[in-house]
Amino acid sequence: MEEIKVGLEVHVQLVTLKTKLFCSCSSDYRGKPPNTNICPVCTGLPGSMPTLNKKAVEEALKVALMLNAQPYETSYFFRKTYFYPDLPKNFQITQYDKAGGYPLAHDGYLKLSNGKTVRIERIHLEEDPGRIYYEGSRATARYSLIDYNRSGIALIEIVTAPDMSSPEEARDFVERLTTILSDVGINVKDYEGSLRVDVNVSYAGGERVEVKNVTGAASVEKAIIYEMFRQKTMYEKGIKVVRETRAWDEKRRITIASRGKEFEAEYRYMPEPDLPPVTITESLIKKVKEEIGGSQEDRYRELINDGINEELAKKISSDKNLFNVYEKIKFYEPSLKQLAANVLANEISYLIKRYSIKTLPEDVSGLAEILQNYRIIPDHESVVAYLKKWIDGEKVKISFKTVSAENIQNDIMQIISENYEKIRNLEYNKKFEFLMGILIKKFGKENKKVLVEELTKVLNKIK
Amino acid sequence: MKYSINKLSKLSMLKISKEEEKMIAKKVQALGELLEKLDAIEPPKEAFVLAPEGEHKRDDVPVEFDSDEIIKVFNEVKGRYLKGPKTL
Amino acid sequence: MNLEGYTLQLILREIENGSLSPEDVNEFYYKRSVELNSVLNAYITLLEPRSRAEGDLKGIAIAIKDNISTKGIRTTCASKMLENYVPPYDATAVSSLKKHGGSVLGKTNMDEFAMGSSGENSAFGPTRNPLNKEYVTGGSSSGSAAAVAADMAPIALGSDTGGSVRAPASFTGIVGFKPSYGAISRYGLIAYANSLEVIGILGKSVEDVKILFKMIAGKDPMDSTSINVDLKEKNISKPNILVIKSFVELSSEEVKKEFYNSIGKLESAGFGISYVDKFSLTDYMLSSYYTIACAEASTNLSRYDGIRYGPKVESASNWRDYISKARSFFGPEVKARIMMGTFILSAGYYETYYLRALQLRKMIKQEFEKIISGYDAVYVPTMPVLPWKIGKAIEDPKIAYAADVLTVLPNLTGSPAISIPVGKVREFFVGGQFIGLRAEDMKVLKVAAIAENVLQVKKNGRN
Ligand SMILES: [Zn+2]
Repeated sequence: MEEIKVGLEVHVQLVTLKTKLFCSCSSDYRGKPPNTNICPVCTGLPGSMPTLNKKAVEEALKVALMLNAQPYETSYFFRKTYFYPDLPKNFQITQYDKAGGYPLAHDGYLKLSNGKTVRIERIHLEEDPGRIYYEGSRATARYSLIDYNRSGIALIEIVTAPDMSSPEEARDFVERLTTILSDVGINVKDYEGSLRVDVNVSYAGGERVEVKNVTGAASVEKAIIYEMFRQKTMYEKGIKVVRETRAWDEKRRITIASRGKEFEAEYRYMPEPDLPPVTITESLIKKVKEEIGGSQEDRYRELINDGINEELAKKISSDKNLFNVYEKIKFYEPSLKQLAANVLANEISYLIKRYSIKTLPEDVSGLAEILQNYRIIPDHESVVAYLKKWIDGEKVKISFKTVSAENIQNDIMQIISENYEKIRNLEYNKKFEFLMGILIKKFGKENKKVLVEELTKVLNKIK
Repeated sequence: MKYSINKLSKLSMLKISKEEEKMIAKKVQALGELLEKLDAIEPPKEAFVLAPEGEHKRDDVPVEFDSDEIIKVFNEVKGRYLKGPKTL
Repeated sequence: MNLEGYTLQLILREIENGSLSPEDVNEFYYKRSVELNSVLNAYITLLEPRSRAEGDLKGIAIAIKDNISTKGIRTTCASKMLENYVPPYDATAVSSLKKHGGSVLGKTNMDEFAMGSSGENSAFGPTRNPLNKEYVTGGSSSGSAAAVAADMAPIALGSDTGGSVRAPASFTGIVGFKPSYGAISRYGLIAYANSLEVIGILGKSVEDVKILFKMIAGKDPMDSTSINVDLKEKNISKPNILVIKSFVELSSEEVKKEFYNSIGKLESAGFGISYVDKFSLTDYMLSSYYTIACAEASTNLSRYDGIRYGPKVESASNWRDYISKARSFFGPEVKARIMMGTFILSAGYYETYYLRALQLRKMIKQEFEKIISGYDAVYVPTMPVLPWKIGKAIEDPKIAYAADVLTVLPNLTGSPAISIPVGKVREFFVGGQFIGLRAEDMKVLKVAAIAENVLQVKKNGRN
């Protein structure tokens, strides 16, 4: 089998927004009657003008930073002209990296499960077109039915380099991307059709074929497998693969030559004169960074720098929730960070899984209380129970009568002298048990750990 | 300067009648002559725009437009769908 | 009652003191418009008066160029393409007028989609010059100029992309004000060349256009390119103005003579007059202007495909055929500019033409800002020629393109510019324009008001 090269253009709807990218229509278009979620802007009426959704820039910036991409200080919107009935202006407002334009961000990367790095060339904002329906089949329908409810929904497009070399890698890319997106609240899995991929596949160094509009990671894999074998068959028969655009047929699971829309060459890009350039200031980047807490890699590095071992660091950095708590504890009481890392990677991780916990409390003072008294909590079950209390938002107060080791030693000596006659002839174990009974009564079960330690010391001394 | 009226009208999705053709060709020719002077200029790296100063972005707050008003503008509807040409 | 020669200022004053009623005013303009329109063709749509006397404008009806959206009133852009288009919303400028108690008198004729300098390129026939009906009014705001000049409206809105307010004002002997780019919202102005154009005002006096300007100026959340300009009155008594000789030299002998004559009068009235021989980029202004305008126009006008609105196509072999057939309804000037714009933006030519035109624009702006520093305004003729006979520019399109040479500068630089009558040749007037720095609209209005008072070209005006 010859080598294949796969590059992806992933379109993601910014489902966390309340309005469209360039107008104030609701972003919640799913399930609404046709053409009820529209205005002069998103239907391209004469004289209407786009206005940029501020939050869309911030959300896109979040994704860009999560993908380790560099934002441009100034980026531009462009018009990309092609005629099609789902595109009300017959141009799409998008961003472009040529012709004097700059997209939102460039040169990021994403690491696959197998450790391979996939380069991300650029990330930009653009608008979704409307949707076309047909009565019966597209082939036999006498007219099309157009719904502009989706028209103008904010998308980001993530363009990778052709760095993937198997269908599995492409699937892994989409899956990992989906996780990263959900890290910043963009849960594409909850919104049908909110992640759509254009897949570029070339076999054995041949021309690249673009398969448009593949939805979801599993279909991406299937479409590439199909395309790989189609191109391989052609290659083996000596037929040249031509550069073309194909469509993915989800039902039949094949790609088909697509006709209709115009091709790349004549998009006639030009700057959108109605939208001033987008400026990404340092303070905006800082604000967004604070909201997302950096990439997994950043988090991992920080943990390692703190002296946390690799295993714990890996576990904590992979979950933003855990890492946030770690950071807060570190700020609250730096000396607790090692213990915090342990508890986060073990007990708290266990609880998150066990009770399907979505978020951890903002307030870490309860957790700090647990960590500070960790040594005197008698057993592991109690630790877990206290942690659960904290996660559930209950107040955590550890109110053991705590005693210093020095005090205990004095008390132990006193008890021994008071009971000297009774214990002098007992063997060590019995002696220990007898004294322990008195001590527990006096200091409480919760101090057992310390009592055991101290009693052992004392008995060893006087043996 | 190389352009054919035929190719440009096709790219622009414009049908041009026989009667118009000569007049349009004359106009395109006249506009084309104006462009020739641009040869003397060095092209820039970045597009120049008359950008306004200050904040120009919109808050993410929904405002509903009466969509019935837009349905009234549409040429032909079926239910609330806009009827368009077949796309095959 | 006869309101011939009345300025808006006078009308408002007489309504205020009770000697005129708003109903009488509206009745006068409506009746006169019905009577004269068959000759002058100033209006595409005329509305029966139905005003309520309220607000600063007392319910007075105003003429609106037919490329400015008016809710419920058809807005054609003088094109077959929008012959039956009725906007579902008001342009921001129109709603501002309504808020001040204004109403719509009618929609004025124009060059189709504002493309033209003569008023001849209208699908509804050419507008005729009230000064001599065999001659053009100038364009593209031809109907607005004719209506004001012929007392068919007290004042009118137009739009100015490369001189479209000032040219017809000059040809019909009235005042035409092109504000700074962005000073009046473009939301609802049907776009021809977004980065160049602005809504402008045509009136009988500088004071009249200022009254209206103050009502509709200001930043609009629906137009991201809009700005707030300072609306405070400027205190200037002896303006310092700069004459660019290379501009004057482009004019015909008649224009030149009248223009220099006006300079003499201004100088003896205390104006400080300075001269600069050459604006080094004079020869490039039209190239930059037409390249940018055609490029923007070709994408702006992509949306007219007969699918959502516009001419319905009864039979088409496929969707491309449908769109092409619908788009055949554009007139020849519009088709030519769309095609030129398509050419300019096509692959391989974008850098050759479009980016260079933008660069030129930047250089022109810099040079202008340099030469104007230290002066209140630049003073040059508005049109290099007097009105020509209807039909002449249709024969030779170069005449019309060349006529823009003195008006495009403020559009390229975003400057405010105002044309006032400064001389008289036979039945026609020679217009002179004052151009200022962007956002210094009140300054050019002040300079023009002083000059108007000094020159007294139209002694019959009553204000
Ligand atoms: Zn909308």
